[in-house]
Amino acid sequence: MDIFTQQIINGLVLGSIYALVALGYTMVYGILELINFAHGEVTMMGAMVALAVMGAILGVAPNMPGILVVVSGALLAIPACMLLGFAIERVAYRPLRHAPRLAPLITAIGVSIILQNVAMLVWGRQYIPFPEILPKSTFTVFGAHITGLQIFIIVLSALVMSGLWWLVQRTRLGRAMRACAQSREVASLMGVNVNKVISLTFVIGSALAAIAGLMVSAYYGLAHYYMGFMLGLKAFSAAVLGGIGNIAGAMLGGLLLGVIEALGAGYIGDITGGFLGSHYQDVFAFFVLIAVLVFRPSGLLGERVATRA
Amino acid sequence: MHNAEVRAQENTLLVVDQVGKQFGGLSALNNVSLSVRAGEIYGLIGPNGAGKTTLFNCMTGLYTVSSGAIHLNDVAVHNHKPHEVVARGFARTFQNIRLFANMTVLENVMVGRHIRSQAGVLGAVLRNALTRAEEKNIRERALYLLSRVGLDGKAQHLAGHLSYGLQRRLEIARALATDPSILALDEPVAGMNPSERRDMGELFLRLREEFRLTILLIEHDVKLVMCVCDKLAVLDYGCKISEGTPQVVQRDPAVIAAYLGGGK
Repeated sequence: MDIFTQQIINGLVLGSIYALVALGYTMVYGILELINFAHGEVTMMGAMVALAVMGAILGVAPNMPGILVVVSGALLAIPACMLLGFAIERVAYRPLRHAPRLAPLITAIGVSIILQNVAMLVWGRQYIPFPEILPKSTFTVFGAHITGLQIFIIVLSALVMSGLWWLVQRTRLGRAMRACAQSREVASLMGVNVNKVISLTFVIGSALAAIAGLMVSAYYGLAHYYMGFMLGLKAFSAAVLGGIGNIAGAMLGGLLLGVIEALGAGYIGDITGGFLGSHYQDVFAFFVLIAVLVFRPSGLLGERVATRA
Repeated sequence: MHNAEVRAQENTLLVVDQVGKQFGGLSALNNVSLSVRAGEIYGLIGPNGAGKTTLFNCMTGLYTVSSGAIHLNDVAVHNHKPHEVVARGFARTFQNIRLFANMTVLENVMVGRHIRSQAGVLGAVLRNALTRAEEKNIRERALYLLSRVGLDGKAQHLAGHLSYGLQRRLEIARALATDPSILALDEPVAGMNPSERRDMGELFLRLREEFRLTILLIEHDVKLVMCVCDKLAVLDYGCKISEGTPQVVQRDPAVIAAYLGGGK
């Protein structure tokens, strides 16, 4: 087995999940210049709701095909997260639209803690296992093993991201989003309902988060109330790495961070002569992040004003 | 001026009634009243800081008014959201050009069509015939408007890469895309040379005819204002000090005093 290829594939899988979450951070930042720290918790809620739905379905119909169960979970988790994202913006951020920038930032942290606690009260502190209902098939590509689930995650992320790219670049709503990203004031004076565009931005970002939440819980085989914190932090870092506010940047940053992390996990032991083990992969990833930002403070694709959305 | 007489008999389009605007203790507008008839080119002049742009901002919903009212087609538009005012038929350009610099020329105008179209997330996802037809209409209308302001062949350029004069024209095309009944131009020829100014003056007259527009014009260029405006109002320190045809305003002692100072 080729370790290098294997780690690249593992990294791409993880990276496409990071990218989906990073898009939510970057889209909101592009328009509002707000870092929505609650976004990681929206991802967690997506996973939790999906698992709860799947558990309920399996309780009633244990012989239902696994894929159908997961799809049902997704079909409920996605709208639930969209509603949650809409509500967060409406209740927690919109009243602070004209407040100093620190206020909505603190609010975001508050919302994030509230969501964690709600999840803990509803689902408890324990890890919730992802039911073993998905078919297990493994393929060998260039000497590396890749599971059906991994292929599915990569393909679905790619589809969702191309859809989003197309939405932003080619549709009426996307144009309005890009216009708002450049100037909310001018966009409103050209007839764009800015509040509506902002709401939709949160809703779309939350739908991506729900998908990512379900993916990550399927990939690791579990979910718990605290999972949104680290995932959110990584995704936010990915968005910064790519250039926050830049949609292509979030995709690139996510994939890159995933790959760096996986390579770090695979090789950190060799590099340090066994001094650091693979559980230091996060340190490795953030070290690379810092190094990139030292040389490119605005991120890889970020010029702050270029193709923001 | 047969045309002007016909227009004068038509209805009043825009009524500004005793509008006041305070910023803290500073009174930027003081009981300003105007009435603009449909089809007029109405000039708003006055020294810097007289409150002209403030009045524009009150009209377009960017500022709330402290007192008074603004009616467009007999509907109150003051203290409404900017996009609601646009929906009622009020479009504007800006004193400092404010294009979406990182979008193409065409996309800038297409954003202006936003209020006259409806496709949402669902349409974008489903990509049904209705959405596609609407998108096609938006594009064609935008291209047509670009041709009317002299921007043919520039559709795919980035707006920020256009020359200054063309950016001014693009702002006008973008505003026209909202299907306005009244177009407010904030110093549209500032920074242009005399021949460019003449071209712009002709453009305003042409657009008025073709789109049956009423035009509100803030401008410092006296020659242009005298040429194209049917009526003028003069603001000074937030008060209207004179109103009338260009010939009348030109001879008004209050106006001369405001522009040249002194005048006791």
